[in-house]
Amino acid sequence: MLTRRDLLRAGATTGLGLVVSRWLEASALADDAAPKGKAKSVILLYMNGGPSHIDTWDPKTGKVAGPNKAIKTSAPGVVISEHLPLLAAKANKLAIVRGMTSKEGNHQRAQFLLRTGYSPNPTVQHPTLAAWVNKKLGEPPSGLPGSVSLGGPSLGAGFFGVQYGPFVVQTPGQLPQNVAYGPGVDDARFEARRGLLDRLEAGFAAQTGDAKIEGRRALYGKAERLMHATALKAFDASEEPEAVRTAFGDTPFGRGCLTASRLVASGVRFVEVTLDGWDTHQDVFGRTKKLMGTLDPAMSALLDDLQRRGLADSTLVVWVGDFGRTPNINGNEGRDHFPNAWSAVLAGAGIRGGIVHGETDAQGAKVVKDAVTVPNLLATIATALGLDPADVAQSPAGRPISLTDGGAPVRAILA
Amino acid sequence: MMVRTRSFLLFAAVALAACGGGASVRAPRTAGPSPSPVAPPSATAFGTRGIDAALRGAWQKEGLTPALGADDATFVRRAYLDIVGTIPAPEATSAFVASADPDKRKKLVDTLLASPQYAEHWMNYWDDVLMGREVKSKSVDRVAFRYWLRARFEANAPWNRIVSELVSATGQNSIGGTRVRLPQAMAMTIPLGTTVPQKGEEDATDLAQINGAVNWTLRFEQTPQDLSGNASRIFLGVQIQCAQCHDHKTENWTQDDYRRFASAFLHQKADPIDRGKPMGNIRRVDLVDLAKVGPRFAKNADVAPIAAAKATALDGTDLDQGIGTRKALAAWMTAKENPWFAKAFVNRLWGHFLGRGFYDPVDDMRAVNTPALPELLDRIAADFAAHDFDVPYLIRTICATQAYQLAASASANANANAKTDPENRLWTRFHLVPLGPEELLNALLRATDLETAAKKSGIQNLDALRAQLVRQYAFLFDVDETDDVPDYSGTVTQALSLLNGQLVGQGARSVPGSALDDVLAKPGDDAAKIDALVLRVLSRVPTEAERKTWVDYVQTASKTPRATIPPPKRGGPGAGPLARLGVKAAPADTRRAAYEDVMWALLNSSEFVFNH
Repeated sequence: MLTRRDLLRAGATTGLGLVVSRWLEASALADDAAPKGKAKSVILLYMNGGPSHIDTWDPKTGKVAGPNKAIKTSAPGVVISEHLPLLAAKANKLAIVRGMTSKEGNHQRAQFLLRTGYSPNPTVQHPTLAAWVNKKLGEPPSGLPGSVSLGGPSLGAGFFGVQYGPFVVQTPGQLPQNVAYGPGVDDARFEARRGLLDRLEAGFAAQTGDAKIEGRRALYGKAERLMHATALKAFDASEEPEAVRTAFGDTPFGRGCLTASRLVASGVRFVEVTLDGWDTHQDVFGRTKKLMGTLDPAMSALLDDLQRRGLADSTLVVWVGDFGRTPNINGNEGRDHFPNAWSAVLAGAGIRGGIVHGETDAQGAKVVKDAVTVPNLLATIATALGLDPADVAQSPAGRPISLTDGGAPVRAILA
Repeated sequence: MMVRTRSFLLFAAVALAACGGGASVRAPRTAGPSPSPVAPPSATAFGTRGIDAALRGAWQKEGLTPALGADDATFVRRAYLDIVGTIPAPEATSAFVASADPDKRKKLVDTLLASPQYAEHWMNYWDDVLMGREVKSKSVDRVAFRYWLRARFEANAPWNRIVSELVSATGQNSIGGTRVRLPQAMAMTIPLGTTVPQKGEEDATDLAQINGAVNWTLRFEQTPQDLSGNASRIFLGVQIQCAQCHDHKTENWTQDDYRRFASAFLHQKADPIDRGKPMGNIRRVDLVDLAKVGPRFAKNADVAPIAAAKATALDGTDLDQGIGTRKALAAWMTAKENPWFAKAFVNRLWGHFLGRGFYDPVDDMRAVNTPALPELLDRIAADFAAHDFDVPYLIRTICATQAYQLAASASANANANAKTDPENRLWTRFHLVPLGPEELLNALLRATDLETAAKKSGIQNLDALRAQLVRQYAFLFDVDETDDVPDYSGTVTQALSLLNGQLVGQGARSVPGSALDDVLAKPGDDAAKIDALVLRVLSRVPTEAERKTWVDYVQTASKTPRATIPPPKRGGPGAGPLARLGVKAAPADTRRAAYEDVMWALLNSSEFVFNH
């Protein structure tokens, strides 16, 4: 039986590569095997630097609250920051997790924990959740990568290998770099060059007999599929009507959220969109307000957009950052790192909306009910995707490594 | 003191023309350790002969047949990439291949070890291993650290001294000035002995006033619990950090062992020299030894259990020497008697040169990570220690082995009955290893001569251009060199940048100053030009069949009219640091265009992108 790769290879050597790959791309759309869970894709909104939980999703009263007020939401009895009015109206779709807790108060260590479900340990380069999803659910038939990071920084795939790492796009909303021919190159010239290269590769493969040459040829095939994929335009958010773009906000993060929706519509499994700037050791109120001004329209427009595209029931949206910030307001009107108690938000496929899970004390200093660890959060996401959180992979040193560090899904959050 | 030394990894790779005689002259020595004493030749030295005999014995025992020997052209490329991090210039390859000197391989290695590019390459290598990607700490002066490293390799400092100086480093981190991001640091052409001269001012502050080595300890200012784990992993191949969280049944080390060892690394503090907010400048500090664990560590909840433990080496040696604890730690780690120190370095270097270490990955020498031929590693390590940790000695020894001089070809195993070693754990053939980012950039720039082309196009600020290229490429080529997996693992981003990116796209062009322009300007028929291009890019002469294929392509394509391709839109593909290259050059005629296609294919080939 001929595989797609065989056909591509045959196409490349006969000069029909482009035609064949385009035809395959169209025909392959049909064999999309649905995972067992409700969610088929994840959009991770990553708040780089560690957002203040007290000033966003877990508002308090009195001195600890600073100048911020809380507002009512569409979920009965649930209040959030006044600077998230659009999301407040959508709270009936959100699961707000107020009992997040971890031991990692350093950015790098916390970011590693959030992406992998493990505290960093130099002996094992743990794969990220994105890498697990990419590996288990496979590349989308549209020719787009399985995992995309918009705006970075992100984390690689650890011992799964770089091929499972995210395809990083520096500028969200635009086509990725180097997907178009360079100056002076058109289809005919590119094909001529590829023909020359194929001969060189065949010669070197025959000479060395090394499987790495074939691996590299397969990678080039993947790159060319992406270049010529009709779905490539999903990266270009400027195609959207102005009203849609405006709803997301004229910010890189807003364009990232819009692009994430478009990518998921084209079958991408895991999209990470970064919003940086939450490390508010100084001026926490001013800076957090400004960031919420970016977040509120982008995230609420994203939920609307997924609904509009019919993807709300198959896409899981996760809002999370490094950790929370101290109830104590420091001498620079800032808050410092605080991993003891913080918030995360889930919405969409497989998630019970309109709930608050867990509770912190009056100061936001301690989880007093339903604590959720990071491995538990990741296990919940994995379960929603139909993945087994206890799934095991062999590390290069032969150690069995599970998807999370002993995490169990939080059933109360799952629909 | 203001010795102008070319420092950039990419463009450092310029001369190095001579080989087998006419050794190039090293840059004058400046501050730094004095050269190590040359080890006396010893009749009992294990050396290359010992390695060859041991490996042959192992192959025989396993019924394996080694590949044929690598030819001269392959060897010269391999030695350049491994020792100085770039491909040879075409003249160097030709001269080496033509030389009848029976000792020419040995002499080539000596020449490369004596070249300034040797120190440059190993500075980049160790900067990457020790510091990794961008370090966020405001008190880390990456440039000062890099220059400290370079001075060590320039002076051939013995490995034990380098590590000892790092682990027990005290003093000032930096002369201050603007914090420099990594790509700029890597692209900088600045004199040895200074960090970043301020704009418009000649800053002649002497490096002797500061100790760049302290920046490695400062990298862990926010995560002191990681310092011991990194040090033991990199310098000892011991994964003590496994025991950070709890005891493991399968590991040698308990959590108490970990804490006691980690405690020895924390007998220091960084006294601030600059007060207030650094505002984009490097925060100058003075790292000083303390008789007890630094007070700020004891307050940190994650670090407190370490701070409370008594400083003890992994073999139980008491390191609690008050103010001298870090010195005692360094002495213990780097002693000839230390069972891990020499082995860890030999394993790492063997992995670098042979494509796979005795233990793989190279920094994990735990018992659960089954090694190949551990007794051979022990013998080489003992020999290295007996030669006072002389790094060039070890490199000479490895490069002279039969294993290092085997072809990468598996098909050379002619005997159909011979057993095979699919993972090639016993080095019966040379491991194909993808070039790292530094090597690939160096190789691309040397093959295309883009530096000359950029100058001719009026691009004045080459430092800025280099920084942009490093930024683009270091992030693209996230290939773990030490990770030898049977499959090639690269990223789509990387493939795209070679297929459509500027460095290859512009580098393949025939514009004034480019390699292709130079080849086409010289007299000779198409066959001679094809020979010259293949020599430049692949460091060899094409086969008869290849030559005919390429000449046919060029001659046929020269007669075929090409469609006019409109220039890309402003800001579209082709924009970027090299966009100005050859803008005034006439559009290539069909013949030049055909040669550009050949050049593009050569630069994209696996033969170019792998060390083989």
